[in-house]
Amino acid sequence: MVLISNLINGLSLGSIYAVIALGYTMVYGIAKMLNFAHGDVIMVGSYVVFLLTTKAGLNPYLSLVVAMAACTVLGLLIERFAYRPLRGATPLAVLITAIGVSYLFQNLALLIFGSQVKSFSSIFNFPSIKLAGGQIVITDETIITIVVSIIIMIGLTLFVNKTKPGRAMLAVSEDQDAAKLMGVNVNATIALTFAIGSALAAVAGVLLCSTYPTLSPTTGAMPGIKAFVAAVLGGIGSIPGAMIGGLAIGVIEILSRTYISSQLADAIVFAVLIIVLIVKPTGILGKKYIDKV
Amino acid sequence: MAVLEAENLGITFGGLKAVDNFNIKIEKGELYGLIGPNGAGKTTVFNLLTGVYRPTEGKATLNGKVITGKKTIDINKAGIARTFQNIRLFSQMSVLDNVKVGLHNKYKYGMMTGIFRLPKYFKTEAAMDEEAMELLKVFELDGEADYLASNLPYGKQRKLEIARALATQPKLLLLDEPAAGMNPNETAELMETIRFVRDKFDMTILLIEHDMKLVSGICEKLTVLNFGQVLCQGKTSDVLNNPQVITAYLGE
Repeated sequence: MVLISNLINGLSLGSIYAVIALGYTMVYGIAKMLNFAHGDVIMVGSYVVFLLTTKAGLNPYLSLVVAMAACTVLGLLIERFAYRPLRGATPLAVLITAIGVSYLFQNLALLIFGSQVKSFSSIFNFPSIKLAGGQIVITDETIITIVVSIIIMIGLTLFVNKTKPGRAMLAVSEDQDAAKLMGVNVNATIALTFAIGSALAAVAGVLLCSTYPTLSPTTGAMPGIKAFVAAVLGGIGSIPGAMIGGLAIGVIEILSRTYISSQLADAIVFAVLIIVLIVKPTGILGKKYIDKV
Repeated sequence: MAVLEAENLGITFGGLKAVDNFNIKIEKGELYGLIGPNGAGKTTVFNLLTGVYRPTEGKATLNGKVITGKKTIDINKAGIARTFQNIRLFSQMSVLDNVKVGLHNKYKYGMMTGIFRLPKYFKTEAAMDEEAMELLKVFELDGEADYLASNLPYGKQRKLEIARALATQPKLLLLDEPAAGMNPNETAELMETIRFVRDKFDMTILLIEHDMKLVSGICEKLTVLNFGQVLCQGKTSDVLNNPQVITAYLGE
């Protein structure tokens, strides 16, 4: 019974990682860069919801919509001013910039909101489900998290594969120059990818803070990195891969926390990254690209 | 008015004049060949015309409008489409989707329409499917519409590239070595296809080619490039009998 509740908790945490990993994987797949500031967009989204619900007394769901809009704008600004000038620069320059942007936001949040950890009250207020005579309790956050992440994954897959902007994304991800010559606006397509990824980050932030009810300027950092591990495990660039990787990392983390050591849990998650990179660098669903010369 | 006119077009990389003083005038409906030895600058001319490179000298006009200095995407919108020497299809997308990428700017709907699948989404996508299928039918690719582009045989990939380029509604089609890597049968078929495209779509075509059978078979006019400069220009039969051209190709 303990195992089952742990598995459920793992799936819940994994679903959050999956939603964050979707942001990583889409940006990587289309712009071929790692946006390490993604985790901090989560933090910003969570603060927006926190302030709107506690200070302005706004409806929690409405504040989530506002947070999604705010994060979309933030994502577009990051793309426009930090990454677009570096289009065509070496990947290393872009990577360092991404890390810089990440620290910029963490420290801005520290300045504005202070280092004090805020307690975030869950925006969901439904009864929990009790199974097996109360031995297994599934909270409303868990259910909502899992359902929302599945909806997001299906929606995103349909959007990318079945719509015009989605086709443009796929075309840009395969060959930016050929896409340009077919009349696809590459900059707009990459910006759209950032917008979608950042809106999802706001959702992930609220799910995360509702499940683990604390909020600080570094709230997004660790889940961001773990979601990156999840994206690599699932095969970076692959949408279903992000989901599989996220769920796997969530379950591995919760099970190691319970059965091995709560201090070692994070180390085990990162050990998974190292093992994946050694055994199957392309990840579970990653494609192997062969460059024809 | 000529569809394409280039005046003194040139580009310098470092100290090297890759293309210098390039002039060309292509009338509507013409099938025009650009030939020359390896490294003569033929593909560079294509890159200059499509905005991949910015010319350091001269200008080019499409139907009288200046295109030099414009961005690639705007030049495509203005009406120049191209295929590539080494095929550059979107190989992990379906044959149909490749053509639909080409139709990107002809059809419009907003992002929200796409996300929430409003009625306009279904209407527009259906119209795109229909137009893309029609194009594929022209190239006898409609049976393979659902295949991944990378799974098509070589000759059909070439055809799909032409179909994708035509989907962008060009006024001028640039073909970069369309017969590269083809066997004589495929080349013969390709010649039919190119001629057919010109007649059916009333298209103006500029092509780079090494296969002299193809060039002499379908091109009405030729420009010969050598070391980045125009060596000779005119009617195909005249150009191919020009002693200078024969020297450039075959040596003394």
